[in-house]
Amino acid sequence: MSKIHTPAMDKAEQKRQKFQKRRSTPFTDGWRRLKKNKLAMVGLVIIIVYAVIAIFPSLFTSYSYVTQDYTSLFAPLSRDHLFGTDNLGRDIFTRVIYAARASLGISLLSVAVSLFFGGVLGSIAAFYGGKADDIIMRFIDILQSIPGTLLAITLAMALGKTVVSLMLALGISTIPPYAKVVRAAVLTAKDRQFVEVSKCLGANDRWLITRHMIPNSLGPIIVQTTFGIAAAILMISSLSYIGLGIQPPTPEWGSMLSDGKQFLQMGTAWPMTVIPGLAILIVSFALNVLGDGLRDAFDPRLK
Amino acid sequence: MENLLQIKNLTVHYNMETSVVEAVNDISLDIKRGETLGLVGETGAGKTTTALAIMGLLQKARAEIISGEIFLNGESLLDKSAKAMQKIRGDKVSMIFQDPMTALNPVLTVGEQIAEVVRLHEKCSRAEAAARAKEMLETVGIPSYRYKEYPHQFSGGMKQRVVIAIALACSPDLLIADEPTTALDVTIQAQVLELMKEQIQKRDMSVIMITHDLGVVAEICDKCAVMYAGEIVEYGTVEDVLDYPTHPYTRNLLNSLPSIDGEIKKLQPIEGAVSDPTNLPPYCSFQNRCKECMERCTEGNPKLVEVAPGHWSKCFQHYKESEAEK
Amino acid sequence: MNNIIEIKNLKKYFAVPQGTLHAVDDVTLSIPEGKTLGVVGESGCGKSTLGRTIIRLLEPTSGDVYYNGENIISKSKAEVKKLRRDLQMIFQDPYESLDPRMNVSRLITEPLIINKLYTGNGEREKVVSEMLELVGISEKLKGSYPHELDGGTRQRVGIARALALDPKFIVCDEPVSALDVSIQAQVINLLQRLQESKNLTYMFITHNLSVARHISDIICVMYLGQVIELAERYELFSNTLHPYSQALLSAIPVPSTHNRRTRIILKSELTSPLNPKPGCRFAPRCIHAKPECFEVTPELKDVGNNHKVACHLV
Repeated sequence: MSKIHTPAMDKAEQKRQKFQKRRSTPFTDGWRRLKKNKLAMVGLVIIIVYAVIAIFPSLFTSYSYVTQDYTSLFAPLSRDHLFGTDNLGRDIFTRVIYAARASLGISLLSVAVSLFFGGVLGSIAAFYGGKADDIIMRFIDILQSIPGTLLAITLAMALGKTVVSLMLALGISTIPPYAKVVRAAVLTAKDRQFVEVSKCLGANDRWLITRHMIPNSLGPIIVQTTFGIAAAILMISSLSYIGLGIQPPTPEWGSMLSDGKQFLQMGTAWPMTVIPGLAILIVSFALNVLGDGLRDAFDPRLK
Repeated sequence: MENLLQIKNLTVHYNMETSVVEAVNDISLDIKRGETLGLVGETGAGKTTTALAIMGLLQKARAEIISGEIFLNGESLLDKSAKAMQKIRGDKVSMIFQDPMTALNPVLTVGEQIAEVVRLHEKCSRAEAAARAKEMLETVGIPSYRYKEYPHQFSGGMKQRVVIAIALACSPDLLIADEPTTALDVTIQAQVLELMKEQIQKRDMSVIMITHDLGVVAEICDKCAVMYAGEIVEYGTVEDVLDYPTHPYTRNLLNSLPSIDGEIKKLQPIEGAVSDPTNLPPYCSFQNRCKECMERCTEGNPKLVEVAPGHWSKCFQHYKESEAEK
Repeated sequence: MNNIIEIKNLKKYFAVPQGTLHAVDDVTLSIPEGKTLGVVGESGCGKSTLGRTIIRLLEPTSGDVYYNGENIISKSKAEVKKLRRDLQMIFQDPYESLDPRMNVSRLITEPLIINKLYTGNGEREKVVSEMLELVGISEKLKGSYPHELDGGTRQRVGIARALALDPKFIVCDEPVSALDVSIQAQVINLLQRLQESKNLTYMFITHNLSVARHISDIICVMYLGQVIELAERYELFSNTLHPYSQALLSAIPVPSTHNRRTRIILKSELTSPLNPKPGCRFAPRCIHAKPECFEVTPELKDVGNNHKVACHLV
């Protein structure tokens, strides 16, 4: 191009290269924006701590969650029992920690169930449109018109009080929002020109959906999933509270709350309700602020 | 003729998340009353930012006016309060945007939208405003019985006529048209340009015509300023700039256009791409694409030099004879 | 010279709530091998639909398209997929036509993976490098994502993807319209260079008459779904016969203050080819229209010099 070369040009070029070193991909850009959101980062840290506790509960406590100690019922907070003990003398700290495992596992699995079915239904509806779209979306509308909690309770009762049934009950009752989010996202992606370009290069439907449409609709789906996990954790606790969820002696925040409520009048028994309640509050708060942060990070236009 | 608008050493930067976009860098411009100025340049040359700065419509969160002054009729616009600017916008200065599809409110009739501007700026009754709006519709070639129709009932060219009617409703001193015909088809563009030409001649109004199409400039403008990377690189009458261009960028640009008549020759493109506006070199920003650049071009940024009376060009080539600076 | 593409009575209608939209209405054209056919017209004239129908991105309502004597329209989907390699397309918007989640190298590899080409070890990387060199993109940009590239480079990537399949015929749908003026010339020169070196045949769709004149050997002017004038480029520009072509030509703003042409300003606006009635579709806007023009659809007739025009007045 230009025939000349001067030191000033080298300097400008060096500056330019230094500047360009930072890789910019759609993912790293989103992550950079997320990092700037303090509240979302707090949420993320809480979720990581929660996940670590749920996966390795034994690292955090030396007690067993079933060991009953009749010599110290309703013990107050102390060095031995960080959050005291309950009506059977079990260590509340230990039970809260082990309870994380059940709620995290089941909520993840139930979200996986609804994401899978919702994703398949939503993308089929969006991609093929017409009759398929009509039939699928009417089915989703019907499913959604049944109150979610009632549906989950009915399913949980019908399927029996097992962990698998709880997971299915939660998963099935929350399919509609996932189907709708995936459908909307795929519909948007479908109309984008790069999909037509790939079609022109010879790609078949499966390629178009899996390689172009889904990857480009991940943003809203991830956000929905984050909120979905929060909702599932709350729902598990609600079901356990009324006795349909996780069965004793396995600890669960909802059932712990339920156990504690009969001793509420006793001043010394407050940790039995307050501690699991706080656990639910903190985790669902963290997931919600993280979800908001993710939405802003992946779709900055909404800000 | 007096100067209606004066821009002095305007520099506008956008503060982005990780970088600073140097959108407009130290530009100065004078526009006389009744004069039509073409502001030409490619994407990211800083044309629209300049226009938004005049209108006081720069995004407050991102944009920062680093330096400079803008005077309209001798009054400094940058010193005015938000409220005072609101009074000026639509009345003394108005703007036509590129996309007529999004510039109109879909839930109001076109008549109401014209009448709204009139009522905002002039003390008059509803009926008077409606009458004015109907008159404006006729002026831009739309029968007044269409007053009660909604934007979606109009085609693209007709919508742009409505936008023009809104902009002209209060007889502004200065009209800024930002690519008003880019979204339109060629035959419709011809109609809209004809309308604008007619209105410009009829009213004693100054116009800034922002465009990337040098043909549109030839068609409608008196003066022309060519922008590149946030700077004005050439300024003069349309004849000066289009028929006797002196800046290498302008000359190259004209050579890279396929012509509509004469023999077909291989196009002479400008190689490379515009410098990254977040990282402009400390010297002439066209240097990396310039076929005629010299050692000197990387030693500093040249200033606009008057190469002929009223014809300015920003290139070291013109420094040969005289070291005259603006 | 043999025609690589022959289009016979091609029609593409769309059913819309208000009736039938005759987007492409009875188009007959042929394109000689190694040449460029320019298709010009304003928005809604059916030029993009025509381009997409020829390579069967859209299924035609009726009519035939012959590629090297074979009828493409009667072929099954699987056979069309094989033909895709020969018949490619370059799209208008370099911002929208590349998947934002793929880098340059993956974008160029994609057509190879889809068509199971060059399966050998490291062969695909070699093809990517070849393509990058061919379209003039530096190897350094292999890992870049579309949003990091400027418009011209993106359009080069789009061209490289189409070329990776080694096509014979390419539909270029407004490939330079979204680009800045100084970049347009780069891409036009690139397309011309590629045509010479690979003996490509182009259908070049554009609304810009100067660009069409520069790049095409033959130009056809479309109006509301129909071809109204067809001629070799110099002939068309020096001896413009159809009143619409004349108006279109006169409406182009020329970047010079000399030789200003007298401008024909058309009355009213483009309509749409919705439920068209017999008669010339341009008649309502035509200053020369006679009663006959509103009743009988003019045929595309040869007026000599390979110049065809559909107008009762010629």
